Amino acid sequence: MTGEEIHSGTLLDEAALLSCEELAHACGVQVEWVRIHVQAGALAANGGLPEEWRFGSRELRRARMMQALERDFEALPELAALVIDLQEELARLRARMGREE
Amino acid sequence: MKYRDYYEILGVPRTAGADEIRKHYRKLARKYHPDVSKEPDAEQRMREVNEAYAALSDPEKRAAYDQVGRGYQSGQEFRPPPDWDAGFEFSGRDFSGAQAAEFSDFFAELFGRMGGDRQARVGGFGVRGEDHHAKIVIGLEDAWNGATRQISLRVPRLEADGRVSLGTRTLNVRIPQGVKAGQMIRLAGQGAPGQAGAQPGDLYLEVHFEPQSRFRVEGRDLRLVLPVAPWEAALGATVEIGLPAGNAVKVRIPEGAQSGRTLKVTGKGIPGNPPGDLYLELQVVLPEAKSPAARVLYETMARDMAFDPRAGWKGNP
Repeated sequence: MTGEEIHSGTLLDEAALLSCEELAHACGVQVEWVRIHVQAGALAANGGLPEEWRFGSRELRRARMMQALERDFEALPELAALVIDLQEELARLRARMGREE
Repeated sequence: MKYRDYYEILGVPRTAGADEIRKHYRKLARKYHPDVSKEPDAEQRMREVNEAYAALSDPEKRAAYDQVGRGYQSGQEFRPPPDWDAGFEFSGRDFSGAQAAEFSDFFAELFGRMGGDRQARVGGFGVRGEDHHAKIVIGLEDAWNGATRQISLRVPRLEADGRVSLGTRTLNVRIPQGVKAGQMIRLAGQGAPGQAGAQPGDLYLEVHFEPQSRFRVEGRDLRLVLPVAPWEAALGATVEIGLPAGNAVKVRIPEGAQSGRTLKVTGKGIPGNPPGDLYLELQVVLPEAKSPAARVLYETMARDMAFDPRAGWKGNP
């Protein structure tokens, strides 16, 4: 790879979404972890059956944060999801107030 | 390379048990969490705390650290003796992927061997490389027009002797037009190398915008508080508004507009499919009555207009 090479990526949400396996790989977790969190309502999946599930940028970010909370604090999935919901709300309100997130 | 006192970072004695280390780590993780911490250097402290915990929470690493660091003080120049780690078989945890990239050279020097060991143990089985994650901060104009930006990433690198060191990798990345804050750009094959000929992982870049002085960004929509003169609000006016990419849009302020009213200019937010909208919240700004002429104008209005801004309050205490 040279410093001059220009990399064009894929924009998640629009050009592509992640499958259950891709999300698990991106977060360094087992597919089962993703399944449990979708079934617990902690992650939102587009699609009905697990093999049809698709995930975008927000769910990837949420899944990584959730995994860190569970690892660092041994948080239950529901509690980790609640913390992230509150963080998202905080970020939204800060943005509304014109402050840097 | 400076010696890092991981016990001091976590605030525990060298005799601390695993429970005490975990308890202190959690306390500090909460204290320095970047989303809630008021500490000015919270992000840096959080990285140090994570690194210290990665070293001390793993019995193998802790034993090795204790052995090689005996007698050193925090910040003291440190050089591990050759083959100091002979006799330790590291499991490979905590020195992989994005987390390792945040750790110090000191950590890499001490625990860098494990990457090679792990590769050796994997043997002939191909394992796809880990996905890496990074943030990229761009200007609003980059999302507006699309751009190419150079980013530098710290990445673990496998040396010829099997050791893993931290290196810097520079990438030129095309920023697609219309990208939103928080959106991920996936660069296929730019993550960790695969093992035994397997595919490399991907690199995910999370897009953030530089702080904006005037505009607030929501998806592709732009929001702006637009100051207007009283006569512009009362009589109507056309005003020109400079947009982040350097272009401008002319907007008609309707006659009789009031402070707080929001005007929507369709399709004039960040370009994309679909493009965002521009929302203008009007804020009527009064000129000061400093000069005699300005005072006369205000006095004339007060006398001739019979205007009561609190008329609606009458009968409604």
